[in-house]
Amino acid sequence: MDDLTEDIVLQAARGDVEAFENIYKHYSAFVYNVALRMLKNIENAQEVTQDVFVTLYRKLETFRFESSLKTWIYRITMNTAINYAKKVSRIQDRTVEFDANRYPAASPSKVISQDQLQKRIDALLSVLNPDQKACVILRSLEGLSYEEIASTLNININTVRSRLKRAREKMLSIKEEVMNL
Amino acid sequence: MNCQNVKDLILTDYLDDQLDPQQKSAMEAHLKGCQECRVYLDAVRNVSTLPFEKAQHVHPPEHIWHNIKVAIENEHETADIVQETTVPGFWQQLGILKRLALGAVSLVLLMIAVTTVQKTSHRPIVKIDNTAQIEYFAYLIAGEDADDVTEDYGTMIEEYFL
Repeated sequence: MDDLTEDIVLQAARGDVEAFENIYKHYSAFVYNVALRMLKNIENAQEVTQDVFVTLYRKLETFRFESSLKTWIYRITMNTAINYAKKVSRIQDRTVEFDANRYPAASPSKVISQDQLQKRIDALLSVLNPDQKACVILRSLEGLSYEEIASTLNININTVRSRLKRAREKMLSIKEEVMNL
Repeated sequence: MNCQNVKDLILTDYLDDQLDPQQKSAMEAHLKGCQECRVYLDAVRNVSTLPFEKAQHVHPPEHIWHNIKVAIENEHETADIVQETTVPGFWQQLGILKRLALGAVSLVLLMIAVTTVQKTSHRPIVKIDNTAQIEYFAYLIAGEDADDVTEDYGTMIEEYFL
């Protein structure tokens, strides 16, 4: 269980807020980064992060240590973030297509800044649906294996492959626009 | 291995280093002799993995933990108030002996009441299904939560996704 002991998890499950803070410190960066990439909006990412940890606190007493805490937390995070992203896209009610005007081109330079890189990532993720986005984030940003992604998203490992393949084909289709950002 | 197979693997297992050594060797042999596939590999790598590898990881702002802490502490307080004001709280405070004594007294009173009603009423007595009634009282004493199904996010993935 990484460096979190079972004792800390049991204490948190009994309602010990200090023990729960240890769990928060350990996993908050993962939850927040995933939410930020999935939703591309700081306020929404903060809301999802809060929702995930309040849910975890409520449900921790049902955790039975049969799988790792990490997988369990990743699963709750992805489920919350994907549902939130789908809800947001239903409200917006539109198919997201790449719009180069939303991402002003940068001055020509070999070395790109974090700001430019951020724009590229946002542009690349903007053409993906929430399920494809989740696979790309878990694989390329968080470094999970195909097996871990399948377990986290509760999907077949070949579904992971096909989502990544389609996602990368889509990202490749906007290569010219994105690399000029 | 033709170019289409190679391109499919470039988009997935090759790029993500998920191939076994034998498959990897076969891929690399093809790439060595095929410029088109090498160009494709570079393009896919530049667009779909390199930008993500260089991305910075950020930490959530301080106030997020504060908000979470306030939310869970409020839940604690609400739960404590509910526990103090519900009937089960009272019953839990009574010892087993006290509860047995109270049960015996209630039974005697019930028998007296039934006898009195039988003597005074001309209507036929409706037979009471004691088991059903006991279950009903147990339900009332336990409170509304007794019927709630606890959501279980344990280890079964499907339970969480339902």
